[in-house]
Amino acid sequence: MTDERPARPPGGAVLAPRVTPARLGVLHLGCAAVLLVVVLAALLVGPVAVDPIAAWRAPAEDPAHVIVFEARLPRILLAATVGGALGLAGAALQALLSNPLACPHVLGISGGAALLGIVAMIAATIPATIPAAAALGLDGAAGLVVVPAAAFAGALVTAILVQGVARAGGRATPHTLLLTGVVFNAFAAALITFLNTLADFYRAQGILAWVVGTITVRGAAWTAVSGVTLVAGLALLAASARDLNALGLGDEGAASLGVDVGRARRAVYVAVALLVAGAVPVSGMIGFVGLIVPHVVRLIVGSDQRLVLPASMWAGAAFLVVADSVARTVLGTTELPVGVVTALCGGPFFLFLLRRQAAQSLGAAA
Amino acid sequence: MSGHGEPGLLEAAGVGVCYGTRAALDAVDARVVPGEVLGVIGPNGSGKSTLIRVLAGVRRPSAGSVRLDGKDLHALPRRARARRIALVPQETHLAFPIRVRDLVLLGRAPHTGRFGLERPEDLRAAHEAMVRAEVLELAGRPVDELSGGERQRVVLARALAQDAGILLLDEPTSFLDLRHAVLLLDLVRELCRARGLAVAVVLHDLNLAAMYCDRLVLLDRGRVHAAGTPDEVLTYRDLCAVYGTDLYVALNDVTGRLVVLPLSRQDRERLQRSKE
Repeated sequence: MTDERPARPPGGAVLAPRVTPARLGVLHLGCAAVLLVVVLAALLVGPVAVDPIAAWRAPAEDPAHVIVFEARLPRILLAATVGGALGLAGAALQALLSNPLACPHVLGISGGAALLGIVAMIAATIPATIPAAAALGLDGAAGLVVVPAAAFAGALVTAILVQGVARAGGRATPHTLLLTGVVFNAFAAALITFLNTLADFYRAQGILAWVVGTITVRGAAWTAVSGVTLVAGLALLAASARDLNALGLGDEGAASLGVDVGRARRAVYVAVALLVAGAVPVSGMIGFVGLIVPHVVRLIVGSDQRLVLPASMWAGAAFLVVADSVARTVLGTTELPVGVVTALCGGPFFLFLLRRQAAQSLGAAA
Repeated sequence: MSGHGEPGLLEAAGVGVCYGTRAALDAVDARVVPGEVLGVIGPNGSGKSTLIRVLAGVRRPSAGSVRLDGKDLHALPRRARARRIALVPQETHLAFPIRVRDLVLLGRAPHTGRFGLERPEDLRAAHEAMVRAEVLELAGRPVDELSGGERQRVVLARALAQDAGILLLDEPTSFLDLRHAVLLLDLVRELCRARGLAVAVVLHDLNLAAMYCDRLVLLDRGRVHAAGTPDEVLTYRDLCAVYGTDLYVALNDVTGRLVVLPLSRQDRERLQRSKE
């Protein structure tokens, strides 16, 4: 975006501000417009060809109307909120840890959220088997609160645990942190599969989808929870952007600029846990969105977190809508879990980044 | 600069710091005075960087106190402290590529609000800092493409943009060649004289310390071995004792400053023989 800046003579014009409220507004509006186009395009994609204008005009019970507005639209909207949450969470973690390989999935945060979320979901189905509780309406509504809350707790505890384990015995090196996260994720996936076998009676299908990552429309209320946590996470992170920029200088550099490093770290982990808690109960453990998206965004807007964070949210949303459209259609009428699509894009990308980072650290050592 | 970073008196009294069981600093006193350059010298591992960090308030001492204008430094809110004290660290690692102007603007972080939106005075301060550090023409360049000398001046500009009256530098010249080391320290001393900044600088090179510092603190294994003017501190006896090697210490006829040179084993043996 800002490649060749002409050199200014000394005493010339003062610096132009990079980020102003007006520019942030333009960024949000522009990105929203791009996402709208992506969503509209995604509405047209599916195993059945539908004329969208006809569907719009058709009465509510018309098959075309049902396909577009009751099957595709809710799923696309959910993919957008989940993708936005994952892209934003990834950007925030990469900035906080000064580690371009960080994302909620790689750090095990998604795994922790999924694990406790599953436990809560199984627990929430128990009242349905008790007539008195079912009569009080504890089954459906309770899940809506309990599952995201449990996922939030799982995400936060994992973030703290992984950071703690990786830091034990000195400073957390980037690679120990990632390794700890990856191991934790494998552990969580194993436990989830174990629970899946135990809870076979209840909802085996649904649980396995959590491990691979599938956009699962559970109803408008669940989508709303995901949207609310997304907005809350964005607000919290926007207020942390200045501190995250300073943290690019390292903990001590940030501290010398007056940043309360501990508080900034806690704020970011809470925001990430919120984002993941909104996403995981409706999508499971979708990997690599939070990893890839911030890289592409930084290529376009630079490294200023005030721009990277919001742009990663919008780009994540658009990316997951596209990925989910591919997942819905690439095999004809058989659906692919979207986690497979993102992993197929993200796996090679991760290796590429790892290789580049290794080359850089070798270069620095030489 | 905008002129509200008033200089202040920064004092460490009886400061102790432990890394695990090892004492990095033990009962160290140091005063950073407005209009003066304090040099912190000593061998590797003597606690120079730790002392600078303690003075900057980014490390809390386990014993003793650090006072800014007589008040406890750690009683001051972090951001208020960062508006008074700027730190140039030994190395600046950047997690992500960033342009010079953005790095310099980071120095305004203690002045801007929650969302970090720069006001006109922030842009002006960053601009002035770049003019002073002579890096304005680098404004649009990525920091990781700069040479060592350019990079160090940019980091100094970042600290100047902070508009603090106290400037602490941790081995700012360790990666610089002679010309760039001298340019940087000239600039620091000019700022100190012209604006009355209180400056403390860790220096490895004792000749630079003799040239640029008004007072010196010589650290040895975490303790103050000697403190005072360069003439008082840079004595043959003290330096040989602290650095654990024989040295050549003399006045330079041309500059009138002290010169300290290390001696190779060959030179030491030859001198030993000639004494006998």
